[in-house]
Amino acid sequence: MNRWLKLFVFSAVLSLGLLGTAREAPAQTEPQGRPAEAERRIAQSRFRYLMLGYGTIWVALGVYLFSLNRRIGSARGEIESLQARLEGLSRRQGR
Amino acid sequence: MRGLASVSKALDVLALVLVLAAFWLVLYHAPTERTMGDVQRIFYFHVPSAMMAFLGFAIVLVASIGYLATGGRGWDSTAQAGAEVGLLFCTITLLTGPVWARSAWGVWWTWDARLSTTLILWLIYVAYLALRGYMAEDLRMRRFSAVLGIIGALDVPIVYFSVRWWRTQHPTTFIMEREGLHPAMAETLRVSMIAVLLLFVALLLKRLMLERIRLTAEELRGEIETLEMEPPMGPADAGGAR
Repeated sequence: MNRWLKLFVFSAVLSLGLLGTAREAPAQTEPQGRPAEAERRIAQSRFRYLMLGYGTIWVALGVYLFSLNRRIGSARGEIESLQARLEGLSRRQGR
Repeated sequence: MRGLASVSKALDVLALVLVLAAFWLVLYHAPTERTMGDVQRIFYFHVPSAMMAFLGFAIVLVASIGYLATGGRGWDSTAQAGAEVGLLFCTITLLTGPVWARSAWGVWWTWDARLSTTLILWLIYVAYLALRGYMAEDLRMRRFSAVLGIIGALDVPIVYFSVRWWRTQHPTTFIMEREGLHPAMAETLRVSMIAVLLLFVALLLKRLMLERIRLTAEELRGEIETLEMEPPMGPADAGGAR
């Protein structure tokens, strides 16, 4: 796996861990006069949206990095084959 | 290219370390906002992503003007890299905004001025990259895309000032007017800004590297074509003209 992708996977896993532990923290929003159970459910729902938001960011970055790495890899491969072809041609031309 | 690669390597690590640090601050340092609760924490990456999208499109503007003025291929490559990375951050902004909106406003999307102009900006740069992808790689394509890149960048101030010019649901806070922000929130936002900026630069350098590799491949193809057109040298030619 490419260096960037390794770093990315490591960061994504670490972020998931951070999100997982943050979930244990009690909600600190100002009480709106609702019953405790309703407050807890609202806080959970907001936390789910937060996870969805950051999950989306990691997925978007991951998809872009993966596509960029693939393009760089194939461009490098093309250069190698072109260089080999050029060397062959130069030898044939007697240079 | 080696210099660019080593700078890029260092930036990769630095950017990811800072992104993780910012993420830690978002979750543990920034206080929970009173009315919106935890979902407001999306703001710490949503706003910097929007800023980086603007930066990307500003790069397209400058590089496109540079290309039209000088005709240098480097300008064109920079514009293309800026558009692609800018579009990535614009996509992140457009994806994270609705998540926040769903929790705060109760709807995923509304045709509000800020949201609509941002979507238009995104569509312009999708069209820019589609134009580059589908047209043959020649002078005409590069000129067309430079003009489209400039026109697209004109939407950036419209997006930025839309909350002031029209009545919108989107929060009207301007980046220069953060006096009301809790100190811990302002610190977290600053670190997130730096982290996302570094990530932007790291990705831009990587994208520029791809363009350099492509240009090298183009040069090699040109050399091969020239060699294939030339007749093979005889032993006398190889030894030099007598």
